[in-house]
Amino acid sequence: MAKDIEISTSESKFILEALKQNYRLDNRTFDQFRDVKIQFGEELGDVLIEMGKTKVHCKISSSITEPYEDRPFEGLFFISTESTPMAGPQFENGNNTGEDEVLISRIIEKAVRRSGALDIEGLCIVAGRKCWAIRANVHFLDCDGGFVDASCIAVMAALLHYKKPDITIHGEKIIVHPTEEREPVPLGILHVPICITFSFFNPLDIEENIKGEGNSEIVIIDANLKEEQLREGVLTVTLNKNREVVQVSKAGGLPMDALTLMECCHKAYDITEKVTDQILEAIKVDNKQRDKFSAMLSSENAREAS
Amino acid sequence: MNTRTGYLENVDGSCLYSLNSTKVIAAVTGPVEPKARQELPTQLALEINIRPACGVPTTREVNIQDKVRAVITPTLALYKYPRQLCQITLQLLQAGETESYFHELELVACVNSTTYALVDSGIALKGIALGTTIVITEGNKLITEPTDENLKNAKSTHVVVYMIENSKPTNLLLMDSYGDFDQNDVFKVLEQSEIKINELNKNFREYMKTKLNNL
Repeated sequence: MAKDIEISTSESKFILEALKQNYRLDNRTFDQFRDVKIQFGEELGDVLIEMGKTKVHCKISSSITEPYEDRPFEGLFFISTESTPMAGPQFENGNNTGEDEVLISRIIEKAVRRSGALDIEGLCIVAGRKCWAIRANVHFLDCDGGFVDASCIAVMAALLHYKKPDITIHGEKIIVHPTEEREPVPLGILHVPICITFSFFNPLDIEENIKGEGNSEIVIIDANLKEEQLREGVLTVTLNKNREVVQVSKAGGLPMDALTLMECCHKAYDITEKVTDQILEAIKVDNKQRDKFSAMLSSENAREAS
Repeated sequence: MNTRTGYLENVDGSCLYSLNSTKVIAAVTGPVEPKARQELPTQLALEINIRPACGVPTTREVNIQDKVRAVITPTLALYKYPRQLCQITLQLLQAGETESYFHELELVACVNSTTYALVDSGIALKGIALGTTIVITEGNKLITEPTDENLKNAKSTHVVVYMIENSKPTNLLLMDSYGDFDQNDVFKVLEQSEIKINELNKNFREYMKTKLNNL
């Protein structure tokens, strides 16, 4: 169990040599993010993201509970990311303490929860007594690299897609209206953070990397599993469409130039913009399919909601 | 019923299975090297894990897990792989039933998807396990493959799993019944389920035939 993936010396040499000559095994350019496929399930807040062979499923669930004592005006929001051997033999059941697994869940947690992407004050029902608890269940189905990027997209798409049942408050009493009775309400999403992961390779020796002026390190976006195994450094930047840097995460690895970081952020912004638009468009199409009569019944002014 | 084998890349066998609103993915890895505590000296060890669509696994999932294990164990050629391990992971994507009251639809989905995934993985089998859910309504009518609504209005619910060897149902592997029923009802359910299982088996063979022809 929990078998490490092994790449033979000849294969690793081949991949690295190809990178030096500006080629990647899947015929992408270095700055090319894999195409994202977004599929919504039957229920609200049920999303399957496919990026190449990587598959991540996310499902949102909600319940009513008591808020934390020190935060009476806020609802609860959890993201559960647990990997199973389903994604690949490198993952173990019930043991998510591996370095990679911890890093994945921490980065997603920081990108989505701690950046305030979900309006948790809007989840408060009766201050100090009752609030909504929103749970994002991330299921890693198939691993071909880029789990952080894919799960961040999955969580955000699922949050945007989800609608919680409408409620009425009568003093201490709360009535939860079933979805058939009253139109459910969407969650308050304040911004859409998107994670982009860069992988670094060093074509020369380590001395050149530290002392040299050349900046000859190879930077690639959205590495697949084999490239992930061979990379010498990794950087995840999280941005949103408002050009805000939500997070920069670089846990050790190859030292890099400050200018490279700036360049990476610029590249990431273009991808962020594209992916965000794609998510919003997918949500719009799905909402239209679900609710054929809403446009007819709505009294909303004609305006473009982004 | 909708099945798609070979859905995942990193495991030996997998199956995406959906029936009405129930949706599950089964993944099989094996035979592989087991952990020391799992190893059995003469036969294949089996590890089954069921993960719910929402939240963490509870006693409910362990209950389904135990039933799946009881059903799958007799179908595997266990003694062919001594000191090895077969890992089965089931991820529910959509329960399709009120989770606090029922587990019938998920149990059947887990059993059937595991069977498809096991065949997909190429591990040696003695037979296959296929199951179905039947409910008896207040009006004493039998409904196969019920919906959540049917389950809620039922007088009794029954899960029946048969072992299929040489293309015929030979052995009753599991009968899990809840509610108000008598001996006659059980006979009726068994009779009805055998018809359904034969149909499922036909579908199964048809599916595998097309799959092999397209290789």
